[in-house]
Amino acid sequence: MKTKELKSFAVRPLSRIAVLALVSVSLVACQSSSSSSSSAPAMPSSSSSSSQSSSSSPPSSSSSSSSSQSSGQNQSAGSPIPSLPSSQSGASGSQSQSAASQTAAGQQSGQQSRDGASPSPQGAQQGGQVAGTTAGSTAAGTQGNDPGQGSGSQARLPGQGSQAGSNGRDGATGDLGGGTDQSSGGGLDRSGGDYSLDTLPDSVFGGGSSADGADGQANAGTGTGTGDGGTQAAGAMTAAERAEVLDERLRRGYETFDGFILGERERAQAESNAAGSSTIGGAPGGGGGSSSSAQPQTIPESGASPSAVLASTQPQSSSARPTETFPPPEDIPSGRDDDVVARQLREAAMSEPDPELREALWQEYRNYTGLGEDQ
Amino acid sequence: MSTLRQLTTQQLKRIAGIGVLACMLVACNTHTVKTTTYTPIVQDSQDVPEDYLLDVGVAIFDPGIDEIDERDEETTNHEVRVAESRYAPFLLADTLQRSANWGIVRLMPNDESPMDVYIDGTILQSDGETMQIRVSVSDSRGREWYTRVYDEVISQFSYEPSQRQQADPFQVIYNKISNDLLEYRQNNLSNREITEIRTISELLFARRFSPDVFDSYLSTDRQGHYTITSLPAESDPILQRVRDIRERDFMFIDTVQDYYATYVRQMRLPYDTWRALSYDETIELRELRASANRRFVAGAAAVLGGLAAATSGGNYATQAGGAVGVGAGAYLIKSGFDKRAEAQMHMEALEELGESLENEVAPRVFSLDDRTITLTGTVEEQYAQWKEILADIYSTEVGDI
Repeated sequence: MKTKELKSFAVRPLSRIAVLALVSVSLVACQSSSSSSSSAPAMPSSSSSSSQSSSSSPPSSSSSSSSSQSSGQNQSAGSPIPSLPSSQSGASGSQSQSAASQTAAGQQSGQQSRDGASPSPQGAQQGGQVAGTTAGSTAAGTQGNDPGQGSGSQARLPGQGSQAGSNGRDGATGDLGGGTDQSSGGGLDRSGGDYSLDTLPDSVFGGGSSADGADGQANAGTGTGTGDGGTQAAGAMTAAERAEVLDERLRRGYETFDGFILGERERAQAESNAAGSSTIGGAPGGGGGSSSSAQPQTIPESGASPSAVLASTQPQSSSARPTETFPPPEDIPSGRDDDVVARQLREAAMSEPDPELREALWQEYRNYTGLGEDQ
Repeated sequence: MSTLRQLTTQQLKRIAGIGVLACMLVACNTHTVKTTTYTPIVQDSQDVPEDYLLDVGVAIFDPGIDEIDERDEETTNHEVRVAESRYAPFLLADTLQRSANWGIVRLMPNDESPMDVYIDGTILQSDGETMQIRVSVSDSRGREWYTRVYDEVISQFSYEPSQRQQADPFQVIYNKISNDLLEYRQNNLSNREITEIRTISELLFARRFSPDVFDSYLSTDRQGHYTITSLPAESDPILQRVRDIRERDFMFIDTVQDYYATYVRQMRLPYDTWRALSYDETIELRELRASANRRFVAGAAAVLGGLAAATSGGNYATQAGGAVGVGAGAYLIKSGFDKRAEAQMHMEALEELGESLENEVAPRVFSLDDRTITLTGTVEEQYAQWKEILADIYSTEVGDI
């Protein structure tokens, strides 16, 4: 018994040590996984872009830029580029490219004239296209790096990092799914637009901030390192790099804003033109009121106004109406002897695009004209 | 007997004098001087470099409802005045822009965006015949240039279609404001001051977005005037970013200009009609009121004179003359009441005209304000994000994180 008790006493410390070791290992694993999961929502860019899109309801121009970005990503995912060198060098290269393109975009937008002339929509679209190409190259780069590092843990998989980035990015466009569950689930939810540097861990910074691809590369870089590499690489991000990431966010905000404002201006100018044409058509005709002296002024313009108004409204009304007509069924006669109601039913049935409704109208026509009873 | 004759003669003279006075009062008309001369926009004779062109922001005018006289209260429609407070500043901004004496001239949706020169206005009177606006001008330094009241009485000629096609009936008032503004700039501002004003407005905008960085570049004296304490480097990246944002702020303001342009175009037709009709009614009303007042005065004088003659008259003729004077005075007073009743009809006509225009323009004013507020809110939301990012960039560059 004593020996058994001794053995049991000897085994307990061992089991405790084993349990402690397990706990520590699991803690370490939890840390690494938590860092990866936090890198997924880390896309501050996606969060901000999604919040911007929701708040400012981006118009067609901005959505076109985002769609171009997503298309760039899709292309790269469809045809991975295998020729990318090491992930870190690839990352740095593409970062510089994106920075160059961003500065180009910034210059385009910054070259507005002093009189407030808006930048051309083409410029904004070009900016979006550039961003899209950089995003595409980034995703391809991370995928290319992925096979070589396949033995790493899930958290260290650069592919996941890039997918998380693309997920966060595509949360704004709504085009791509396909990320890992962790990243896609947490990324969009946590990235709900509450942006602040304090809320972003350093590791997140590299992955999250560059929706155009720099993020994926940063994560790819972490994937090549050891388990602690994620935090080390992100922590090593210099102030200049952080400023660049923030600049990138600023510039993407410009793009969204430009698209929104341009869309709004187009709408406002169209309304202004419409108001101008209607004003010209209906020029001061109301002057023909009580004062006899005012009447002579208004005669020519009031005489001209009805025709002008008609001229401006007739095409609209004619274009608004559906011109398509559908032939009557075979059992319907020519309708030469139809009365007013029957004629209206016939016209309504012939112009009804919905077949079910059309048939119902024809049936009503038959009932009204007595065709159904005859048959 | 001779004394009686003298008294009678004196009394007769008095009666005659009162009668003549009453006739003069009735005949006396108030003359309104109307100018038909057109004051053109003066353009700066010197070719001003772009760096010395000041940007002008025209604020939405104060409708001046609080300053409406009791007499005009009944004939002034508040909603119409509110509509005018958005119409008139747009025309002023357009006039200033066409003068080519300034940089960009915009009707400002709010006072958030600093401009080099600000123009505030209050509509004191607007009835189709007369327009009176009080204008205050200041610059981004916080210095007030001047406050002046512009008053213009136009003739029916201004509403003729040929004239109306060319310009607003009260275009002269906007031209005068523009010319005064130019004159002040030419006489009071040096190029160095213009540069200072432009720099301060840029720093104010930069301070709005990045107060951490740009607060130290400006100081304020006791009178609230801004002075530049130091300048950021031209290559300062934060300044470049702020300039990028400012370009977008101009885009936003330009978009609002399109809103206002639409509004002005939509309002022009009913507003012109209202003004033309209001012009006639206002003149009629004023003349009837004046005529009624004159008749009251003359009638009262005739009654008093007649009573005096009738009571103190020494003979039958004097008493009879006094009685006739009283009767004539009573008739004048009665006709004064008639005129007042007629004036009341014109007042009601003016009220109806105002209500008619109100029905036309009030929804447009509401729509304009609604769209402007919505767009401003959206833009401000974006600006708030940019402010945060700029603050983070600054913290990052300073190494504060």
